[in-house]
Formats: sequence, structure tokens, C-alpha cells
Amino acid sequence: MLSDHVTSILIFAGIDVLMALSFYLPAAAGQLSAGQGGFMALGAYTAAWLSVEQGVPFVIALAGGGLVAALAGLAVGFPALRLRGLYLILVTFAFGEMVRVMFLNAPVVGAAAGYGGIPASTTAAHVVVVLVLVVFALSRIGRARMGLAFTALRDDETAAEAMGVDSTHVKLAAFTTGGLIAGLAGGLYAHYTLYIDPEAFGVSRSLFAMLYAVFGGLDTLWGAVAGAAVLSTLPEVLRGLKDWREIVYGLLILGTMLVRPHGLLSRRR
Amino acid sequence: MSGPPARSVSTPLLAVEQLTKRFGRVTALGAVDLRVAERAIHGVIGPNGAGKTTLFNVLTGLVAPDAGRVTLGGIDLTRLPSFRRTALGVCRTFQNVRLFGSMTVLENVMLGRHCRTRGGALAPLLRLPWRASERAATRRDAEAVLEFVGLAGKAHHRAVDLPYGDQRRTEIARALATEPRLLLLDEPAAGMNETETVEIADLIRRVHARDVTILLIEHKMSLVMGLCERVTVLSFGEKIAEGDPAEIRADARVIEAYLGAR
Ligand SMILES: Nc1ncnc2c1ncn2[C@@H]1O[C@H](COP(=O)(O)OP(=O)(O)OP(=O)(O)O)[C@@H](O)[C@H]1O
Ligand SMILES: [Mg+2]
Repeated sequence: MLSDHVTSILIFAGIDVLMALSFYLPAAAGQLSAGQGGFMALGAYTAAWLSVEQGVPFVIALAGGGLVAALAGLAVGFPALRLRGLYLILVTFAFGEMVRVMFLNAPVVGAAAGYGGIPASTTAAHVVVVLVLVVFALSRIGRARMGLAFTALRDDETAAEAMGVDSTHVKLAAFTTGGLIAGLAGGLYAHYTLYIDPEAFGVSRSLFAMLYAVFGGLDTLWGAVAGAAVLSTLPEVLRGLKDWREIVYGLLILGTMLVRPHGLLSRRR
Repeated sequence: MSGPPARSVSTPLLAVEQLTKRFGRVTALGAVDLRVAERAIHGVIGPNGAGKTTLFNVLTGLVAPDAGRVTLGGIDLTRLPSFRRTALGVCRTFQNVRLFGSMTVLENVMLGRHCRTRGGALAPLLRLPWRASERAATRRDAEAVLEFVGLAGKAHHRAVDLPYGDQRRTEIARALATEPRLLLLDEPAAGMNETETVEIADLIRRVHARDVTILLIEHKMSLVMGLCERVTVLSFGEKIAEGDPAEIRADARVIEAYLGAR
């Protein structure tokens, strides 16, 4: 069996991969989000609350967290219909911050003190199963009709509309699914750390989800998977470097992006 | 019943009434009326900035008109979003080619099948039996269209890497994949040499032979005069003339508009 230390690295890496995929999904349709941490928070708090307060089985708690985050994704999708590029980044960023501040002031789930007593349900197997299901679903969708519509929207929204793509539908689907995945990641996270506080899902969570996906390459979902897997385990590999670790980590990212400007797995040069 | 119904003779496929579009102080379209007969090849010409592309943008719903009405076979399109018009049978190419940059030629054309196929995000997961072969069918349809426009050999090239002429053909193929009743071509021969222009004329004739009505914007007079049975002339957003090629060539206002623009 794997040691506890290795298991924990794998679980956190798996959760990071899910977060990268949750960023990748709207990004694949051209919708850049800087608020995926907000969806993760909604999933984590909902799932934790369902477990602690309602005593529901773990699977139900996870699904509940995913569902709430998916609905939030749908809600964020609506303003996103009218916004592009930096403006969309700004609004999704504001959404993430709004969620964080909301939980900071929610006594039902511990407010700033955080929310504890969550049952230790998440195992490496759970993370792997969720991950495999998500990757399987996304790769099937990616190769089908909706996958082409996502890419078309990212490449040229006007041309996509003129060729018969309902961009409203595609964008809402992209944000909803992205929210769902982040929500599942949040539920898994909460039932592993057993204690959550709003800071765990702040700006840096959202930005790392973005960094992982971009580092891996936005061409395919495998970019997000590879980017998150590499960047999330790299700090462990570099542990021996002590104080130099952060610097080497940054330099490795920089070096990779210089050699492969469109990401690790991108076909483009 | 035998032969086409009598009304198709008198009712145009596309009817544009009093269509008006202003950009600030520029009147790109000033109360333009236009009727395009079913199965016609109808030309739209005019000097630069006459409002030709704006007409296409309004017809396809990319730009909202300030006033006026657009109907296709009696259906009012004026307030419909772009993608619905495509589903109803209006599709176009762009003057400055707008292919999907990360897709292959085949994928570009497959995307054109979007509005003729079904299956949301969940369909590929549920493996519904009648959806199972949909992607294969979409692919076959797209390949058939590529064969038709003469690009079968380049299906797997990235569309934007192709020479300009082939990119324009890919755009036509993508539009044809949507099964349009009315195809709007915005300067399909721009930037092409003489051989390519002749080839494009031949392609347009073959599309027309498949019962597609064509509205053609073009600066190359040989192409317009050779293909179109009817030509509308725009200048500064106004319709200044309409008629068959011989009438247009002889029209004093048309000659003046072109000379004045030089
Ligand atoms: N989106 C826009 N915003 C502002 N002005 C516009 C816009 N689109 C077109 N115009 C203006 O409307 C007028 C008509 O332009 P349009 O592109 O329709 O002309 P055109 O007949 O297609 O010309 P060309 O032969 O050069 O393609 C021009 O004066 C143009 O500058
Ligand atoms: Mg034009």
C-alpha cells in the first residue's frame, strides 16, 4: 500500500486536476473564469453541511455539492453572455470573492472560524473514480457535436452563431459543467481535510486552476490533466531544495512556457 | 398536383422591405427594398462602402437593423437570432474569411452540420441508439460536401493554413453543410487569379444546380455579369438600380456611381 504521505499527495493532485478541468471547460468555449474557487467553495460547504448537519451518505453529499455549484455556474453564465475577455475575468473574479465573503459571514457553517467535524469519507479511490468519470464524460463530449461547438465559439463566436450555433446555450452549458466539476472537487476536498475555511477557496485557488490548465495547454482536456498533475506534485519533488523550492518552481514554469508557449501538450508552436 | 405551385413564381424567397441601418452619421442601408426570386443567382454590386456587406450582416442577424423587415419564404426573420436563421435556411460566407482557426477543414465543415443534427452534451454519454452513429453520419456528410467543392484531399489540413482560394472554398463548404435555401456569398472571388475565378464561377453554378438560391456580392464584373440573372446596385446605402446584366451595364446612374467612386 501507499504511504499516507503519498496518498495525500495523490488526493490533492487529483483535486487539483479536477479544478483545472473546471477551468478548462468554460475556457474551451472561450469563456475565461477567475472564479472557479467560488464554485469549489459552494461544493465543499454544501457537501460538508449535508454530511455534518443532515447525516446523508457521502455520495449524496458529494452530488449535492456538485449540484449547488452547477446551479451557481448556470447563474454566473447569464452575465457571462454579455461579457468578453478581461471583463468576464473581472466578473468571475468578483463572483469568487463574493462567495468567499459570504461564507466568512455565515455562522451556520462556522463563519471566519471555519467549519469542522466533517466525516473522513474521501479516499484515493473516490478521487480516482470521480476523476475517471469526469475525464471519460468530457472526452466523449469533446469528440461529439457539442465539442465542436465549444471550439467554434472559442475560435470565432460571430462565425459560430452565423453557422447555426446557439452561443447562449453553449456558454451556459460550459459554465454549468465547469461549476459541477469544481463542486465535486470541493466535496472531495472537504471530506479529506475534515475542516474547511473560506480562505482555502480564495483567489489563489482560482488562479492556480487557471495556471494548471494554461500550463498544460488549452487545446485538449489532457492539457489540464497533465498541467495540474505536474504542477501539483512538483513542490513535493522539489522538497529537498528547501528555501530554493519556490524559486525553482517558478523558473521551471517559466522555462516550460518559453519552450512550449501554448502549454505542455499543445500541438501549436 | 403537377409542377411547382403557382405562388412560387410570384412570391420571392427573400423579401427585404425598407431595410435601414445607420452607423453614427453613416447610412449604410437607407430604406432598401429587395426581392430575390426562388432559385435565382442574384448579384449585389456597388462601390466600396456601399452597404453590401452590411446588407448581409443584417440578413444573417449579425447586425440589427434600425428599421425594415426581412422575410424568407414568408417567415419573418427580422427579430430572430443568427443561429435560428441558419436553421431556417440562410447561410453565408465572409468577405474577410472567418474560418475556425484551430480546426481542420473537415471539422470546419462538420461544424456546419450543427444545426442539422441533434444531441446535447448528454447525448454521447447516454449512448442513445439513434445517436450512436450520428458523428459518423456528420463526418460522411461533411466529406461529401468537401468532395463537392473539390477539397476532399485537404480534409485534414488546418483550415487557416490553406492557400487563400482554398480557404474561400472551405467557407463555401461550411455554409453548404448547413443545407441553406439561400446562400449569401460575400466576394467569393476576391484575391483570386483568373483561373481560380473561373473555378469559383463553376462551383457557384453547381451549387445553384442543387436548387440553392444565391445572393452574390462581387466586384469582379465578369463574374457577376456571367452568373447573375438579376443584379441590384447599391451606392451609399441606396438602391440605385436593378435589372438584368445588360440593363445594369447601360444604366447611367450605375456608370456614374462607379466613375464617381474612382
Ligand atoms: N460595424 C460598423 N461600424 C461602423 N461603421 C460601419 C460598420 N460596418 C460598416 N460600416 C460602414 O458602413 C458603410 C458600408 O459598409 P459595408 O462594409 O457594408 O460596405 P461594402 O459595400 O461591403 O464595401 P466593400 O465593397 O468595401 O466591402 C461604410 O461606410 C462602413 O464604414
Ligand atoms: Mg463588403
